[in-house]
Amino acid sequence: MNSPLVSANPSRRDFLITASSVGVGLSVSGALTRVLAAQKSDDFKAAYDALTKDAQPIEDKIKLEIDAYIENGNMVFYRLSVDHAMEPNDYVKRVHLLSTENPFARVARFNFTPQSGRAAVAGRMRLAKTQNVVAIAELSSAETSAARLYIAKRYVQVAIGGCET
Amino acid sequence: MTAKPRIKLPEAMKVGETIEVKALVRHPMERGYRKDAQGKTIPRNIIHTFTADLDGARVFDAEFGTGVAANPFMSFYLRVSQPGILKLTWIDDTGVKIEAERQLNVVA
Repeated sequence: MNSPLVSANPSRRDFLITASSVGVGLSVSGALTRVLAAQKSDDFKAAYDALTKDAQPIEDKIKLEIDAYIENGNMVFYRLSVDHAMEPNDYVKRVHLLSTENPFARVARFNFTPQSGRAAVAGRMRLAKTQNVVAIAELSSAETSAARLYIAKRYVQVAIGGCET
Repeated sequence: MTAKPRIKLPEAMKVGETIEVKALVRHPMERGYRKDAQGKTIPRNIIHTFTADLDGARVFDAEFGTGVAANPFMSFYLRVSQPGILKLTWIDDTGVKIEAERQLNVVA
C-alpha cells in the first residue's frame, strides 16, 4: 500500500481518517473493525484481539471466496488467497480463518513457507448460522515492516446451521 | 481406522512451477457436544493437524478446529524445486495418524 498520501501525512491514523473520508479506493480496517465490533461473539472478539493487538490490518490483499447464500452450514466451501510475495525474506507466514458466530471462533490456521509458492488454500467449513467469516494473514516481515496483517471478511447467509445439532 | 486419503496432483510438473495439491480424507470431525441416541455426549474427535513435507522438509501445515467440516478437504500450493516425495499426514484427537506419500513427477 504505497500511496503518496502516506508520506504526505505524518501520522498513519491521520492518513486512515483522510483516506476514508475522501473515499479513496484504498480501504483500511477502521470501518471493518467497527462493522465486526457490532456483531462478534465473545470468542471471536478474544481471538480477533489476540491476533491484531494494536495493529491496523490492511484490507484488499486477501481474496476470500464463499457463496453469499448457503443452504447447509455443515459443508461450506471456501477459497482464499493472499496477494503477497512468497520469498524467503518476505512471505505470508500464517492465515487464520475465523467465524464471528460459531461456538468456537477459530476455524483453522494455515502455516505457509516460502516453498508454498502461493499463500492460498481451499477447504470446507461449518457455519452455525448467518455470520461473517474473517481471514487474517500474518506476514513474515512483521518485525521490520509497518504492514503486519492483512484482513478480509465475507458475510454469509446460512439457511440451516451446521454446528447446533 | 479410516479409509485411504485421496490426493490429487498434476500429472506432470516442471521445476519452478507452483502446483496445487488437493487432499481429502474421511473423518467424522466429531465436535464433542453432540449427543448420541442415549443422550450421552459423543466425545470430541477431530483431525487437529495436517502436515505436508517434501523430502522431509515442511512446506505447509494446517491446524483445524471443530469448525472444519467432516471429511476434511484441503487444497494448498507447493513450489516445485526438485523431484521428490510429498508426504501428507493427518492426526486426530485419538492419536490416529493417517499418512500418504506421492512422488512428484517432475519433467524436463
